Amino acid sequence: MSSSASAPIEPPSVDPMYPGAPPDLPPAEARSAAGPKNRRTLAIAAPAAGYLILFLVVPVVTLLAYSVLTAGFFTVSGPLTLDNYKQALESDLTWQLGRNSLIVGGLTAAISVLIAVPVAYWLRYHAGRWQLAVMFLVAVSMFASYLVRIYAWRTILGTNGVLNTALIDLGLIDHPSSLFIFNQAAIVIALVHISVPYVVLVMFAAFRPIEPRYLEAARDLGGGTVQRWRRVVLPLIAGPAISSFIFIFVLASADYVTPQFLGGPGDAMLGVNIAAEFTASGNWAMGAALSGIMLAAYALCFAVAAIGLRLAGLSKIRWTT
Amino acid sequence: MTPPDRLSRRPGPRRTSSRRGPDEDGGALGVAGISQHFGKTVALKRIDFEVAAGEFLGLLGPSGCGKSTLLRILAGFDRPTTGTVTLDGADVTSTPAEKRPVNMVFQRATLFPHLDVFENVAFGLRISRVSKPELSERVGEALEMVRLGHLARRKAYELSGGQMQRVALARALVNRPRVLLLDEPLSALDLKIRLEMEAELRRLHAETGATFVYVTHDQGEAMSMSDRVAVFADGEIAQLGTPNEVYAAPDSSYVARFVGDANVIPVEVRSVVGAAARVALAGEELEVPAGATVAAGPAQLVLRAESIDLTSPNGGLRGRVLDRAFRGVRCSYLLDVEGIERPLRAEVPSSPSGGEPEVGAEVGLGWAPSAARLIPAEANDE
Repeated sequence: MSSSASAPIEPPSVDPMYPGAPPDLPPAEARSAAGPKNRRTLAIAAPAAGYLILFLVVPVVTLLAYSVLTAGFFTVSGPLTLDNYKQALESDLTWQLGRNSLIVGGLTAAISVLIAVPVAYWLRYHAGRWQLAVMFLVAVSMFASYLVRIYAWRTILGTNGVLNTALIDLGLIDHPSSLFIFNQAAIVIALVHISVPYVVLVMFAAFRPIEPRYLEAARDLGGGTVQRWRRVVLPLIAGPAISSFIFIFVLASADYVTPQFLGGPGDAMLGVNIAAEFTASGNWAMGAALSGIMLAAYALCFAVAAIGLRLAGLSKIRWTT
Repeated sequence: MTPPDRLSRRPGPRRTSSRRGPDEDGGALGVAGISQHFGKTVALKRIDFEVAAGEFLGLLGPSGCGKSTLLRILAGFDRPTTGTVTLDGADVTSTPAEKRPVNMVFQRATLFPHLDVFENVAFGLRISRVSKPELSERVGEALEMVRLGHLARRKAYELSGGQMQRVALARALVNRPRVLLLDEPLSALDLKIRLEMEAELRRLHAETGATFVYVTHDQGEAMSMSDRVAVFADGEIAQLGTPNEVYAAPDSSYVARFVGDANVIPVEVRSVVGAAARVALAGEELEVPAGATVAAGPAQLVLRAESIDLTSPNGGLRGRVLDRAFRGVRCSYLLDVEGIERPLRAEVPSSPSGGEPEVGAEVGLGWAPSAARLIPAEANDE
């Protein structure tokens, strides 16, 4: 290419040996010149930007503003202060509830992903004619209200519930056990049940572009099941799997309904406390500060995951056709 | 490329095989009684053939004829309903793909999108735990072999179609397979790149010494590269021979039409005297080579389009030009000959001064006596 650089008229630098190669493109900054194209881009982005401002930026900014104001009873007022954060972080209760949130959120997210990935894999590669029917059932399971499903678990796991009745009828136990409900396990079971369908759908979409020929190529090159998963499947689904994990972690760890219905006295989570601050205690500033702390924790999780994926070169998979 | 290097193929039984020099690299492949049924569909009907070590075998046939099904069986992706596959005499029918010393190049390049060119090529070596210095040396060699050393750090989406297939070739060849399977690897490429790649594949075949089995529906590709060609028809091998044999001496009208798109004309054999037969064709009596075992009675005459010339006005057949297409070096004609149901196709060198017969013109058809070939009549000839 250097020999042709001095030629007066030069078509885009195409490698003479390989005319099929894409020509070297100018750097991105040079290409995104301002112009009417820019205005159109703005117009297309406007609805999304408007939505984000109205439903994300405004509420979050309001919440953060509350968190640095002085608390009254169901009010907030000046002056600005960081006392709410100080109080929240110094309270043993915050750390205890935070620990519960972390355990329940982490377990729920991990179990959901671990269940959903094989299900999605089966749906993508082995379900055959059952694919559509099973996908439909997965979607249908999301139609039932969240509250209904929590109540359903209460009737299953409760002292006079389906599980106890069944075990007594089978003669495995002689009196109802109270071990199944009012503990973290019950909370996690219900939240996993609610979460799995979302993750299955996301992971199915993640498997979609991985055509079977990619797995066959890996096999052909000597990869057994373990190597295929390690070197091809997992790297290619890492992004969606980690996103799903964070998504479910956020939803589950912030849940404030399930712990109240299925948890024991010591199983409350941060969300329960935040709800109480906003309602029973009337301390909006404290509720907002607790929310701010959770938001910061989630942002940290997200940043770590995003940086990790980027460093591994897996944040964006560019498929060839 | 030193001999000890040769020993470090994938682990497994191959490791124990005696050291081989660069020229003895190919494996001999045996296919015996292979059939494949998918439910009620029969994709392959008891196929038998052998591929010699280091041979380049083309599997030629239209889509749906079973050639790709056979390749998947050779690769180890699918198990045949009946029959055995042997490699250097050892039965590998139930050896899964990941354990066969056989590699495949897919129709579409199928490069792993999360890995760059180097890592794609290194994939098989990493799995077989080849040491680091050897790995980078072999990957480098393989990339040089397909002349892509300068693109080692590119990702698949930054490559052209031809470059992707080169990487796929390097990724397969770096493992030093006994047999390389190629499933229409050029069909997605532009004509120009395709011709370059054909030359490249011939060179790689010579350089590596591996046995190549090449599936294609393009007779030009099959003929130009293969040592032998197996023409597939509907799950069976219609004919297996060198490109020359298959082209010059087709056994059936199917092969004659599929390879080179010959004219196949029903004729009546009057008499056979030694190597010559007298046949009745469109009211004329002609003498043609008897070719395969032909007795008096109905038969078929195979006549290549390029064997016909239109410059012999007297004697022989006369026809009328139905259509003419100028193709540069030559001219394609469609000729209506009275007494022959189907129009005949003729490919005639175009004359620099022009003056070719126009559409509607009467022309005389001639051909060298040895250019025609008699084959037996077929009951179900379409």
